[in-house]
Amino acid sequence: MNIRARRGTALLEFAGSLLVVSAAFSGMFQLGYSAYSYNRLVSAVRDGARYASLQPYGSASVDPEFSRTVKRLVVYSDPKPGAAAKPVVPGLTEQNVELIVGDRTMTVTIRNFQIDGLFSKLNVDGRPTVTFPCTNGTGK
Amino acid sequence: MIVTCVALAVLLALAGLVIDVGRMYIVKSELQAFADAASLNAAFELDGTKDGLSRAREAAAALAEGDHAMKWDMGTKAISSFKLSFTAGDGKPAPKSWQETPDDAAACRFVKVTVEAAVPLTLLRVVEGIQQDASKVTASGTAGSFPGSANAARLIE
Repeated sequence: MNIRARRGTALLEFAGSLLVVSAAFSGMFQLGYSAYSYNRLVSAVRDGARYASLQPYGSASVDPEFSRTVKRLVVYSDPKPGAAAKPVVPGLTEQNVELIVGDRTMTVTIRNFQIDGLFSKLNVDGRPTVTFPCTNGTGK
Repeated sequence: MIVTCVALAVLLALAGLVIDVGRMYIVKSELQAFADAASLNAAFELDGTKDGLSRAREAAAALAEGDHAMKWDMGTKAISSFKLSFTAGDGKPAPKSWQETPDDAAACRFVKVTVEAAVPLTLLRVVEGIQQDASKVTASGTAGSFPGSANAARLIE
């Protein structure tokens, strides 16, 4: 085989392997980024539920401002975020965070959110969910 | 050809790290959140009686049940494998004295929830030296009962 023919073969092999490798890397990025984002959501929801649990026992409802503070904490990792604050996961808003008030528990979950993994989206609804018992007060 | 084979093997190992280890990290976070919440919920029930220990076990289990149950594996699987152990202590748990069924319920002031899950492996199972279908991930949370204080129960660690 002469040099020109060998170069042509190498080019074809490179083109073929490039397709496979780029698809593999895209898939890895997709999965890795989705996992990273979901992990951040778990931490944010956990922190939000723990913060919310500072309400006294037996709170049938919570102050709307407190509820908003909890949602801000989940979204921005900060109960009083500045104007330039960015959400822990791109696209997450306060509307995606639900605070469920139980008799002596506070539950925080994520509703109707999509983790944008560039090539596809991961639907997140009702997960992650974290419940903490209210710890502030002497209910017992 | 040899270079391609080596590169593919490395790529497969990297993909295994991304998929399987990433999944394990998520499960660890989910289990840790459950362990913290369950231990706190259980600590509220500790009142120095055997009934209190039973109620503590039920309180921990309650967080894994119902409409708002905490789950693992990206919120898709029910948490079922966890155990509670108890110990006495003054301000902090007495070291190396955890018991699942303590003889002296009156002294129990601290509860530790240990939760585990077998995370299925997809790519790492073919890696030489690992070759397991699943990897065990565990998390634990400890809380104490402090009756009479502003917070009747607190997370310890």
